[in-house]
Amino acid sequence: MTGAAGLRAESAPAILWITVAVAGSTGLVRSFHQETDQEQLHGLRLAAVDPAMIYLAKTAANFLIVAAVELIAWGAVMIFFDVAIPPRRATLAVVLLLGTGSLVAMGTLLGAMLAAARMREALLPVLLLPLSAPAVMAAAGATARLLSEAGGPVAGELRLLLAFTLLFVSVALLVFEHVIED
Amino acid sequence: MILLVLAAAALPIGILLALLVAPVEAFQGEPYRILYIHVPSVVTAYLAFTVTFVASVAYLITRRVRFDRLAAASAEVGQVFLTLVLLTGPIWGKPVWGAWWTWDARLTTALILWFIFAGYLMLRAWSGAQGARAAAVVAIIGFLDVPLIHWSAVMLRTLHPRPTVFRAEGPALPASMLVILLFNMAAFIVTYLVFLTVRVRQEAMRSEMREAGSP
Repeated sequence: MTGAAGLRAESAPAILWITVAVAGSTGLVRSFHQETDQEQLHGLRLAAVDPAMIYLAKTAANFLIVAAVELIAWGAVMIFFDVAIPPRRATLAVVLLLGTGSLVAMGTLLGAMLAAARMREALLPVLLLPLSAPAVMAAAGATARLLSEAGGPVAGELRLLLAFTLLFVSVALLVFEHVIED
Repeated sequence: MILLVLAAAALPIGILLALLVAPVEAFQGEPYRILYIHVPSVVTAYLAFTVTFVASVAYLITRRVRFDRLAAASAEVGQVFLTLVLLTGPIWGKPVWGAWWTWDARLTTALILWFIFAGYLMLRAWSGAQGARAAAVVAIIGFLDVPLIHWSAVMLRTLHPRPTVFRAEGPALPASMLVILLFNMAAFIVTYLVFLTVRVRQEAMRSEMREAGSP
């Protein structure tokens, strides 16, 4: 690929992941909105549910929402950047899954933490984007390699995404009770 | 007070040593002297963020306000030193590398860390006392994130000079440079302790005044 076509294929993964990160950070701010506005978090805690379960359930729900956004963004990128689905489809699916998982695991924790804070709409992206930078960089790098004709291994990126997700889900499970009590 | 005197004496001596006494480096020439500010700053900044991390964990477990004050003060001072790192690096990079900035692993890590702690300080500034727990969580996540940021940046590329002081085989610097570098590190760390003590004391006084009823 040379010229405009090459440039398009190179920038497509970056555009895709920036879209997901920005859409994720604006969407995740609202994910605990309902709970704080109507004091439902209070009710949830009274219901003798393990705080860890609240976190996991919220993360799962947020994952579905961000994944839906990602599918739409993927379609748009395919059309506007003239990108075809690469031959290594299963690997690409794993990259998308882990990349989204990392972003959502971090974003849900921050969203819960900031639910009661002033200026949360401004603070969440300010915190989420640098904190999830390693995951977004790895996911975008792996996506770029899977889309390029030259190809190349993505095992390193997959390991990083897995480590990121496992580390921050564990941290979230440990600290979540501190985060939602008031 | 002793710390303040020590810092006030050691900082100018360290700078003079770096400018007048330290020998010229064979390949880089004079610009290398910024090393005597750059490296002590980065060591101090990472030390400060480590203190913030430990104090934040201690705060979440014990809920003692003094740990929260220590975490906040250390993060503030650490951010000042990290800013110094990000300013001195490009000044050296332009003559030696021929570029102000490259997306090298260490540079990328320092920059992202700067943004994380900028967010941390914004969170503290905007959410006041209620934000203490949220801030502690951000400090913990941010600190644990550092190795991952470095890892992800290494996958891109690396150009930064290798570590010359803290490495398994022992320091690679000649003694005439190493002594001055270590002197400056000590001076910077004492300076950090001075700022840290002042900030912690200020915050303690402020909350005392608040409890006493005055604004």
